Amino acid sequence: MNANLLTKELKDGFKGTFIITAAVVSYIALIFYIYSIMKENMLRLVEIYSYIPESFLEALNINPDQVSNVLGYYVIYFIYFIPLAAGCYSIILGTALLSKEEQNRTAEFLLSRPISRGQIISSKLFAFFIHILGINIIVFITSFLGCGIVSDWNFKLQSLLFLHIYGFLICIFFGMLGFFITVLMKRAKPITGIGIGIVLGTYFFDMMIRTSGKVQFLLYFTPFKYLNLDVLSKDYGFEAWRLLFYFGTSGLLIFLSYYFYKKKDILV
Amino acid sequence: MHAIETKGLTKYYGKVHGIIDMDLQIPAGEIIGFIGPNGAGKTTTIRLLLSLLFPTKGTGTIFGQDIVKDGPAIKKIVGFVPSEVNYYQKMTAKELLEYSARFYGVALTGHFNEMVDTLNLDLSRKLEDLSMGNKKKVAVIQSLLHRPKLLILDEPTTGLDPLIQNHFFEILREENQRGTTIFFSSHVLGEVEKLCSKIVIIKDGRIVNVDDVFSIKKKLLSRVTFHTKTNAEDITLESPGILSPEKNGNEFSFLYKGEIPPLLKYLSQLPIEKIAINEPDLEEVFMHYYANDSNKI
Repeated sequence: MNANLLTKELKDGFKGTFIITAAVVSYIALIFYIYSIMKENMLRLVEIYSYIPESFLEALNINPDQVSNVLGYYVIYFIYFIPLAAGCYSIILGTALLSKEEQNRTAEFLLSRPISRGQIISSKLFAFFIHILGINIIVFITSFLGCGIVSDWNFKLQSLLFLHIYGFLICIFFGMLGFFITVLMKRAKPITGIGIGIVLGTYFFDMMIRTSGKVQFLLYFTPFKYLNLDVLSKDYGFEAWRLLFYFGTSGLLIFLSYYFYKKKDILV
Repeated sequence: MHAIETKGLTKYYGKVHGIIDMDLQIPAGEIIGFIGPNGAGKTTTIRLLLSLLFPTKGTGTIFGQDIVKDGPAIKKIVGFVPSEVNYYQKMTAKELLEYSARFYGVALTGHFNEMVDTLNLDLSRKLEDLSMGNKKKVAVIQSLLHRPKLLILDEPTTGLDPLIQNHFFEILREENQRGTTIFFSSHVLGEVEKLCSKIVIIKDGRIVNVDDVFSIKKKLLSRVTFHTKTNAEDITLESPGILSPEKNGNEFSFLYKGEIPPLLKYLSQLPIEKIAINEPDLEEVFMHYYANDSNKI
């Protein structure tokens, strides 16, 4: 890894990371504010849910039995700001970190410095981890404070922590997918639209799996299937097969990204 | 040990060739010109030497270190000026130079300040606000920050005004006297001959000639253009060395290969009003000399 390149990437990405973090933190503050207003009347909300078709609630990841608990309420919205919003940012950041050097034609400058291809990708990967970890830590602290304040600190911290670790792992997966797609491109370019399409598309697959038993084969095409959102179950925690998926796929994508980038002709 | 040595270095982009079977030996401590028309393979060669591209086959070394395996070690001792300067646009010139210097672990001290003064560069401006010439100055300074053993220049004078070009050539001569080998790629023969002791000529991805500047210059063509006082329809240009004569009213133009005095003697018999003898475009030279590989200088 190269500290000079890492420092530059951290500075360059600060603005984007700050904006996405501020947006997510504001969103969390809003949903906890709504919870604080509604918590006395949650039973009426559950009654309203009883009129909505079950498959529709399944698709939106709403479990009426859980909404009166702060964690059960929080997890409904969690999927929109960590796996989806931060996931989109992760895949965009993952592609942009490498592709911008080719797109802006600065790769010629960077690759003529005394730095190996491996150091370049390591520095950019490390910068990516710091950005995404930063977002996830701040979002976790915000949700911890939100859950605590609205429930008088009556919630299971460990479950909230595990939920956020799953969220962090899916962000890492999408980021590594972004890196991998970039190194495969002959002339790398930012793929913002495609990146967002991948995240939303795989989420859509997960919704279909939840609502229809006929499309179970789609579980091989969506990382969302491997999230565990059942935060109120007694034995909620890490499950080996889920972790194996995230660590295995992310590790493989990192390995392949190094492998191809070290052999790639940089056409500027 | 050679500064640059390649053996059968070949690069294909799919089915299109970049360079083919390049055997090149650049002795340490010299200033070598690398000339050829656009698309001849100069930039491909340089990008292979800098490991931006990987060879399809063949090998290359810089001061004995392999261009594929030893990239980072090579770049510690190589400075590079690209043909088009594409640096980080939002950085100021100073920020870019500091960023570059940190890769080599060097400080921007006396040597740096001298170059900034000589090239008259404003360090406080952002790169996006600099002219092509000023960006080129930044490129020249960054290439010399770490006192490289080998300096690779790809069309380095593009955008530099003549005065700054002279300062730049002075800097290059000083660096060369200090022991730096200079590999100077250009398609302008005139600027190469001002500086270089030897010239490597490349065409269609192959080296077609390596010689000293004096020999090549002697063998190269001149572009002769003259106007006659009257409309001279009966004039036919027939003299040894005259190639591709063209006539347009009172204006005659041709390429000439050979010594100039016999040509002037021949032309003095004609009713010439004014005459110009110039160096032809390199493209023209290549069209005449290197139409096929067997027709070498």
